[in-house]
Amino acid sequence: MSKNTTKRINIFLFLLPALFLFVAILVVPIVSSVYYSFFNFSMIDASDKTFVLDEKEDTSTVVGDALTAKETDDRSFFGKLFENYIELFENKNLYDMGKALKNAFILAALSVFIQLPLSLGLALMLGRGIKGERLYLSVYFVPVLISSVVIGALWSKIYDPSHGVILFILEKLGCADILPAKGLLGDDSTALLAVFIPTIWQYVGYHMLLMYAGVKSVSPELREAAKLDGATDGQVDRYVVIPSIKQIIKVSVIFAITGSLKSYDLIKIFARSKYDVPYNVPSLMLVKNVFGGHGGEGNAIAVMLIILCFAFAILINWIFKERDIYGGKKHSKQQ
Amino acid sequence: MAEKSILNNSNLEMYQVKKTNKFVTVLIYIGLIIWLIIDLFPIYYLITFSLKSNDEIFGSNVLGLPRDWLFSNYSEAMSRGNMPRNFLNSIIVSGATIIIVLVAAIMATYALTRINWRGSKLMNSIFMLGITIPIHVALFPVYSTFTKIGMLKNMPYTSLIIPYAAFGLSMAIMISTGFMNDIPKELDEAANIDGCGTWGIFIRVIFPLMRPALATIGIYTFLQCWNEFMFASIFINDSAHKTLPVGIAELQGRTTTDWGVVGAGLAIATLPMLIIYVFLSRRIQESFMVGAVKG
Repeated sequence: MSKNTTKRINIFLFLLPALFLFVAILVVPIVSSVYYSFFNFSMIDASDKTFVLDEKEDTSTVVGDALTAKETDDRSFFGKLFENYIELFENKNLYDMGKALKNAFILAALSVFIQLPLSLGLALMLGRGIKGERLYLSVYFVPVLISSVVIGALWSKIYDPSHGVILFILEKLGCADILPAKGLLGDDSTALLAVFIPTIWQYVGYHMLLMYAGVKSVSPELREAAKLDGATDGQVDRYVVIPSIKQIIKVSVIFAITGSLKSYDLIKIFARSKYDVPYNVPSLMLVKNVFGGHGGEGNAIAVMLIILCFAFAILINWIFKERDIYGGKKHSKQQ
Repeated sequence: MAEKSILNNSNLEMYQVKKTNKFVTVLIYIGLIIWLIIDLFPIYYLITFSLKSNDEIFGSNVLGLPRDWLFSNYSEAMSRGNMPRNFLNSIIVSGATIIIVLVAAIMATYALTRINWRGSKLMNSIFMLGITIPIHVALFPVYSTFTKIGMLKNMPYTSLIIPYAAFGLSMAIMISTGFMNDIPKELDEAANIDGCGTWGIFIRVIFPLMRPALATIGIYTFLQCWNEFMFASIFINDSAHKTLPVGIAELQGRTTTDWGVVGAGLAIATLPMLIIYVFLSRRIQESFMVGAVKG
């Protein structure tokens, strides 16, 4: 056996476990999601399986064999091909994907414009060398470790319309009237905000930690030089620290946006509490449709989610590169 | 005279480090403490109401420390759900996932960074795509495949371990690439001269030196699967195999009247993590930083 062949076999063997997992759980499902998304198929109940968690939802098992091509004649070829996608937006009673996407985008925007500045602020404040820095840092990070399920359950108690803490505090302040009758979670107009507050609470610590690591990696000489030139602490942060942690801010923005698009656990727990507000977000819709007799549409949502996540990742990379006058090339080389 | 002193002053100022404004410092502390309170309040509320009776939670003592410390809530939560079992299941699933991720990621990283071949860069960026791909995508296709081959019924643990491992892989490869690049290549060459083959170098030289990476990847992967809810709630249908997040969600859904018991259940699920964090806070924080900062 030639040396080259041995090398190739070795490379293959070293990659094998990772490749197997990657292909089986990521590549094949993506391809098959795209495929399924062009068909109509319903799940046929094949066993007595039940989702104990969701008594309301369909309890059927998947039978992927029942694929049938869509049969509508009044549309063009592409119209037929993408019928599931079109259906998701047009059939507002059944799906209303437009609303779900809008909600997801609002969550993403809130994360980027409220959560991240808050994290950055905390990271900059801690980065100045405050007494007890480590303690603050460690405590701020605690919610990141708590499972979203626990956070969802905890906050639905906090929001509870008849015994919750928020109600109690507002009653003490004498302004309980501003609260919707069904609580923040139960009202259509405030539900999204009510979902967002625990999300900030949970993830500010995470983004703060990333940014803090960046702030701390700014060399002290650079700070000193700027201060010798007469910069105030605020100016040092603005003109020295923030530009040098741009790459980390980029990662945070990408994580915040894709995280909002994917968010499931917390909203699922809220939705299961006895509120009748339909929590319309893509991930919940995906699960509901895929296991509720609308397999084609469900897979179309999955495909849209992948495309959106990639599109945002590319967009954010591009935005940060464009303005990065001096550091852009260097950074891309490092990777 | 007056002009001169102004000149002197401005000259001096140019080369003087500006003193940190006391007022700003006070504001900073106030800001930090406010967030500290916001951060800790829900946890404080959880711990206190997990020890109270409904009577206290609902009116007579909403925010204070419990008057009667009802530790019975905890034993009640333990017996009402299937908590010990859920705990064990979570440990089994996370443990197996960590081992698979570690082995697969370090082997792949070795092939990607230590062996020279065309396409290694491309392969690496393909693996990195996995960080952006939402886990939801796999949900239905994997579910239907696993149903067909009977894995959901016969090997419930495995049906969770495989997707968890696949989704932990990308981050693990990224983290271990950072660590492996720090190991000097000269070591490989020296070992090669001493007669080690590719596998020998990997097992005798690289793997032992990757120990810090093992901890970092392990912690990161652990948190991901310990808290995972979507797959766990859909793939596992018999109560004997349910993981902790699913158990908690059920306890919360079923027990709507006794808040104290629900609170105790939530606390039981959370406390072990917090205790580990107290001892390993630096390590845990590092494992989160490494991934994002090196990427």
